Amino acid sequence: MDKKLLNARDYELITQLSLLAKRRMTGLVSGEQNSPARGGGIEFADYREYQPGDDIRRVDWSVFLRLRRLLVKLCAEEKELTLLMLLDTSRSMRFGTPDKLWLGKRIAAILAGIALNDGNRTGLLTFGKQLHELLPPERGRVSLAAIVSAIERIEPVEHMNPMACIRQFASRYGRKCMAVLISDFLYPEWNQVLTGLAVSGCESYAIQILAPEELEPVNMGEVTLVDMEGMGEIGLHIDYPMIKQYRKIMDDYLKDISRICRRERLGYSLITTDAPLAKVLHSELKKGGLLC
Amino acid sequence: MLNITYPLALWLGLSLIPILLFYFLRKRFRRQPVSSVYLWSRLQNVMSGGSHLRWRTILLLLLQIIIAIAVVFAVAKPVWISRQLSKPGVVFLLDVSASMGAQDVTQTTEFRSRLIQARSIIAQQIEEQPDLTPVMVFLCSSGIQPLGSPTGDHRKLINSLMTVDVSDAGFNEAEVVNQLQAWLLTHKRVWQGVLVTDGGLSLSGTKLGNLFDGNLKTVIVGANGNNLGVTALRLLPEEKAQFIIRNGWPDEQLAKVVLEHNERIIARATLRVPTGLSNQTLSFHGPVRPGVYQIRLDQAADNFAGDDQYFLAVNQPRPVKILLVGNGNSFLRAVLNNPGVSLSMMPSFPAADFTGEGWDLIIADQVMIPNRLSSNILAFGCVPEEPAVRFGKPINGQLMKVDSTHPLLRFVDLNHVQISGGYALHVQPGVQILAKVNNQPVIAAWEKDGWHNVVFGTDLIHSDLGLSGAFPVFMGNLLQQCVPQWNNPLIYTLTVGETVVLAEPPTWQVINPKEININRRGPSLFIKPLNAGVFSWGQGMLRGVLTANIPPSELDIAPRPLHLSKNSMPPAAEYSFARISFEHTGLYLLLFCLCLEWVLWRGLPVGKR
Repeated sequence: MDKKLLNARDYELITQLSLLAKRRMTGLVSGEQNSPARGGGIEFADYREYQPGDDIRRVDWSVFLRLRRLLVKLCAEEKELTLLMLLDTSRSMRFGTPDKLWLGKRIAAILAGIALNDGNRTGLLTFGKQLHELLPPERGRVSLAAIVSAIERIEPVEHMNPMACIRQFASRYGRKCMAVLISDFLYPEWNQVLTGLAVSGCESYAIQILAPEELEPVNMGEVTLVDMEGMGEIGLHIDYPMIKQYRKIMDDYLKDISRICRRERLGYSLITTDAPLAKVLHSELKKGGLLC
Repeated sequence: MLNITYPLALWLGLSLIPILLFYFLRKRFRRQPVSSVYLWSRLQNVMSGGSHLRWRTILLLLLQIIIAIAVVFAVAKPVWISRQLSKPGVVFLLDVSASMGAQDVTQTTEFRSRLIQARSIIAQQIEEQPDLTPVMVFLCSSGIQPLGSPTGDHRKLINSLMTVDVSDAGFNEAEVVNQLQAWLLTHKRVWQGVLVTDGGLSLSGTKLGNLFDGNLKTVIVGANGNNLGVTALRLLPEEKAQFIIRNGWPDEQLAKVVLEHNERIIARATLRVPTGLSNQTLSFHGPVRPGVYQIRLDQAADNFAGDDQYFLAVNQPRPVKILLVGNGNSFLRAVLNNPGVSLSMMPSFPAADFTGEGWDLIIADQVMIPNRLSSNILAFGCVPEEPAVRFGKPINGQLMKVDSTHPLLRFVDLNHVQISGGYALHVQPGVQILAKVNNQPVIAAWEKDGWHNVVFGTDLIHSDLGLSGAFPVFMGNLLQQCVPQWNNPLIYTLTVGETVVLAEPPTWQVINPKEININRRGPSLFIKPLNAGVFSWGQGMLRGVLTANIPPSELDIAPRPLHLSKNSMPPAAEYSFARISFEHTGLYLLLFCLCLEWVLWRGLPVGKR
């Protein structure tokens, strides 16, 4: 596609938005996200008994006056966030106008920009036959261009094994990061994928991208539906009663995804390809708790 | 038997070939890429699958074939004609004219009227009809009066028949045939006619026989024509009354006659009356005065009392009120110099709100005529302000009468009357041209809202019209048309069942209008009495009388056979043709199939998500 992945307005969005991590992050370098480590931050976290070697300035003297015990005030130490974006690059993501992959790539690029802008680390993984680590987590604003360039080069893969990919992800990254999975979830294993993402231990967010024609089919009459991933063909006579039935199945399917995400404590947003990106970021992803 | 109106349309049936070819050769199931068939496959499990698709396409093919056949039907317009044997209905025509009241039919020791005999005959014939045969009875005199509607309930009809009475009108065959024809057209089946009469039909039954085309059976009632009747009373200047007596007896009779004025006897005599019609006179003393004059036969020894008296209405003469606007001239004044004419003159029309109400005729002589006058108008050298007529180019020459039956041209010969100055008329459709000069209209007449308008493109100074002998006759015709009762004192003496036209103002009304029909159209009153008698009318303080008598033809009560061209017995049964048109059936079928195909192809619409 000749169009540029990000334009000036997208860069404005990057500066306006921040990631909102619910859990405290673990990392070696101080960043702008809270971490489980108690230390030199300014946000109060807990008390513990004074031990020799502790900074005397951290003793809470008002508590000592009431309880006659020396308690040290612990503050949460702000650590950096590692944001990992998992992008579904199956051929089904080529569907829609603009196609779902293009929108997924743009969202991934903007999220990466937001993470880097906040001084966090970010990385990009794509789903294929195997999990492909396109960009290892990096930090610093200088690497945004590289990330965008890498994202632009992403092409759909022939075959995809989402279960294998999610297993590899869980084994490599675990609880250390925040993961955003961008996919259309139009494969039978979507349930296991979401569960696998949840059990990986990282704070996870699922963004489902669908084309409007998938939510409300417009083709009428006798058609042979051809699966873009080569999963077969179906001959149907599509009429109004069939569209009504399809709507019901689609509604049930979306409700199931939403229910699984709630159960597994995953953030979830459904986005259509015709929605403006600024609205998606400001409205859907903010509402879903990914951005603030 | 199927009859095709447009057989060429059957070639449209060849359209079935491309339909079938298209069905078998078409490329079905176009390929449509989707991101994933994951959800669609779940849908396919829910739906019925392949057999469902196959039946649907077969059904669609059948529908397309039916649609093609429906188009052929709609264009070819086939008609199914079936011939079936049907029992004809029977129409009984009962003569209820005045002469049917004659009591000359014997029954054991006493006499009874012809009507009672006719009722019995019809009742008997109705009873002889098979059950549920549709039967209808019409009472015939000056028109027809249906006795209910066609029914198979014969008992109910007979009960209604027994309450029927005679009228004072004559048998107006032309009117009866017209009304009956309209009824037969609206009741489409074979009808036999049975006419029960004493034979006094105005056209001898010729038209009535033709109407039923041989299916009319006649039954003549009545015993003889032995009757004395009086009619046509007139008052002569020499204090004499003239009247006509009809003697239906085979020999000379003595008749005692009494002349009354407003129920006061003013003369009495016994007259020798020869057989047939005879003019008789009776002297009385005193001048003719307004009121009702009655001549009656005293102690007439016959069986028909309806014709034993005759009423004559005498009213104050009604002058024709004429307004002459303009200079006028001696010719006009000479023509209008008549004791029955009340002439007023003025140089121009008075105020703008002048309506002309109360004038029988307004004559405008070269003056501007205001719009919307409620009066008859005669204009010389000027035209009313309306689009019917306007002036054209100047003309002169000799008048040429047009070939017209207009009542104003009755006995009027306008040929070769010289016109030395005037204008041609441009006339709108509906305006009648009465005369032309050089093939250009110069005299025209038309009617608007019942008012008569006559326009001359010239005047009496610039033409020889006033000198011609035709002009007074033309004016007489015009006055007669505007005021029909002018010069006709007998117009208030009416005949039962006949309509007369009077020109009377809206304030004129009949005081006891129960037995009289009155309709007003513009300035004209259409009056039709329903029974013989005396009626009073009033107009403000003015009072007068109207009288109604039975028609003179009803004095001749001799029964006589009708001269029918075909007087056959009605057939026992008749073939009728039932015609069922499929003209609209094809269209309805086409529409239905198109809707069904649409539903089958797309299903019933569902709302948006």
